[in-house]
Amino acid sequence: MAEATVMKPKTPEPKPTEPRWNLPASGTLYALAVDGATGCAYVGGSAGTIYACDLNAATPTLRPRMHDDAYVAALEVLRDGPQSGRLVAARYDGSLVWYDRHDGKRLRITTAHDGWIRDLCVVGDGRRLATVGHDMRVKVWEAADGKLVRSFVGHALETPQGYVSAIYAVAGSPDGRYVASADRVGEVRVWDITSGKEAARFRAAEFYTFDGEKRDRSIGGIRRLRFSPDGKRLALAGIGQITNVDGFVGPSRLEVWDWQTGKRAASLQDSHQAVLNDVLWSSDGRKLTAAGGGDGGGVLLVWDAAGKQPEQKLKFKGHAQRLARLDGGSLLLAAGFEGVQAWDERAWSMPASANATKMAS
Amino acid sequence: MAVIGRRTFLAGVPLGTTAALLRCSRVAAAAPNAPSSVVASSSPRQVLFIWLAGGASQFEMWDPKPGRSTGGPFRAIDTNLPGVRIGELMPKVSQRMDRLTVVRSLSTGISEHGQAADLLSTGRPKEPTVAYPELGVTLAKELSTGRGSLPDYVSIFRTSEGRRRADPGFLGAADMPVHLERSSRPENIERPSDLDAAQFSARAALRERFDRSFLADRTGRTTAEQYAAAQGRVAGMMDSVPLFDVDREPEREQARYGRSPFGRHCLLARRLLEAGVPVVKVARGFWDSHHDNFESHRELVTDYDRVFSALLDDLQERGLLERTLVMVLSEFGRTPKINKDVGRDHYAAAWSCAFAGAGMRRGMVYGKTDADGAEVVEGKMNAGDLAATIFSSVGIDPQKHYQYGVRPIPLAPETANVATALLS
Repeated sequence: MAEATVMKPKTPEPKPTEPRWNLPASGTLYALAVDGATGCAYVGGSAGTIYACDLNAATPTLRPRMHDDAYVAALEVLRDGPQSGRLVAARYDGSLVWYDRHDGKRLRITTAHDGWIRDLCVVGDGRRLATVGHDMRVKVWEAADGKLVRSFVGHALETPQGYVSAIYAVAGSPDGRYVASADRVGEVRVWDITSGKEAARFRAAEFYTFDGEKRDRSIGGIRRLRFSPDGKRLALAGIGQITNVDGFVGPSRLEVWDWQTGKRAASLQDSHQAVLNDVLWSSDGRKLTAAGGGDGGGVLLVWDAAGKQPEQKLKFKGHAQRLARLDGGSLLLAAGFEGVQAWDERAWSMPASANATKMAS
Repeated sequence: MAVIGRRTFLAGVPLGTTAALLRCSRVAAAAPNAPSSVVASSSPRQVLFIWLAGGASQFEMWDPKPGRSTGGPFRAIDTNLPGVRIGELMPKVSQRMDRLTVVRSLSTGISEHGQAADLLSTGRPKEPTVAYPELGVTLAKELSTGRGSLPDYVSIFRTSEGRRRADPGFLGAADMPVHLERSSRPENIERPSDLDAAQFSARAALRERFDRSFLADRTGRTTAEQYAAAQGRVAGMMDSVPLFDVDREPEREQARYGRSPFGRHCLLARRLLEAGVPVVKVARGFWDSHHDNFESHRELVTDYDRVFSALLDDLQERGLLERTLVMVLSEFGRTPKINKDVGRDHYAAAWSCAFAGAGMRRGMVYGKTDADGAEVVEGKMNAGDLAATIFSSVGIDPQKHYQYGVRPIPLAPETANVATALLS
């Protein structure tokens, strides 16, 4: 597949955009999961509290539902079968916790990793979960009983320069066979759950910055990765080469890889100075929606996955850590600094003139 | 706490004495009857100054606040000091806390990098009329034996952030340290390749002869003497080039410090201290974590924990810890509030530093902040107090004066209080 490259396009400054809702919460929210069946969203973060929000309500609000002291890194809703109605939280204390999301009771707790859990995902049809943690392991779990299915080891504990590394992200393939993990130095590994072996490995080096001459810092990393709906490609989100370490100043960056061939299909880099903490594919696999924040402020970018410049570039207050889309709908949620913001994606998918009309009305 | 101010001192000095002082060179030795102050009973003879440029977070290191909204995600861990907990990123240091003194009550007021670095480096805010010498410079001047061919002060500052040359201020260029910035060994000190050792010695002898002749019938010879002394030190450093080569250390020693530049620099510092350099500074930049504070500190403090622990062990095993004050300092700490970019900003109202080795009492935590780490509630120390306490810990009277023009200038501000509880 030929690589489409768009480096430093001269895109206009992001347009300020008002969310449809702005749901305040204290601290930073890192975790967000939505249940399309019920229209309920769950968020959690630095306060340790997990909030629930009925998105069908006339005025949605975040209501505290569960609380533990450790940061919440990620949440997933179990939707099908006997697990339906359960919520799983991955926490910085290394625990994986199953809750009854209706009454908030803790049903099961498993010490999943030595150190922070950085990400959690549902794999395939929801029978399994995958986690990554500071022990640099990728683990697959039975969603029903919390039994460990696989524990993959391969990501280096340290960066090539000897500093501590981290696996930031994990994603499950739609067919439930693979999990992919990504780390600080831009290494991606794809693991075959069935065979228990590594299925692919490649390095997206542009996500990692090391300047030993002046700065002596190992920084950057792939902050989220997602399989495309057909399972053939992986979208990677993060930040390009960092020019100012203190402010974490660097360009917003996405890459798309054909993971089976190990070839990069697209490099999508924008001049907006922000790390992209999450990315979502559109259901047809043609577009990517990414969000984050940083020196240039909160940003939401919509890209053609084939590698054209951003179709939309929207600025908002705050800093987004996690994105979710309500199944089958057009409601896009971003959890991050001090709350959740929600947009109707149709507002920016309209032609500019129609959009202006709608905003005015 | 003994504090005798400049005005108190001057009140007892006859006018004639003041006039005599005025006739002295711009910078003179300490006034003969400088007031005595509190000094440590067992004073170190060397100082290692570790400077975490940009502002290390007290929350992620010395003063954790787990479970508070300001505390961040890291836990606090027990140490080998009963009842004392520090950040979980320092497991190795936690088992060496009985060799440390931690101050949790710095309140230094200035939270802009340059001004704060000036303040912490000198104990005073920058003034337009007086360039105060950096603490390390003064310590080197005071601790120098005047013998030997090695420099009195070597400053290793390789990372670019906040890089500051240790300013000798009004003391002048003769007290300028050797700065290692672009390389970990002094630059341009190799004997030219077209000059053999005999030729070099002959040239040095000729220069010395000229110097002697020039100085023989002159008064006010300070500059020329300083020049001659500098030449002697350069020659000494030329002979000491191997000292700056940490690759000469056994592999075991190198591995102990790790392969990060900070580790290599601390190993070099140990070599310099062992060789007798009175003051060594190791700076490590990029602690200014406005964004991704926890990622930054997980990277930096993990390295710090490994290196600093190795350094403490090494100094102790070699008997150097008994004669060396080790101090770990930044220009300020980080904010209790975690900002939108998961960073912490500059904060000078309540933050921490640490000491080890000689001069300071060991196994002690001094001062206290409130539950959120926002304010000092016990043992507040400003930059002047800190400077005075450092001078006292190495056996130097902080109210000792240098004469700068018409001004007798005490080493630490007159208003400074020595935290006597910290002194050994």
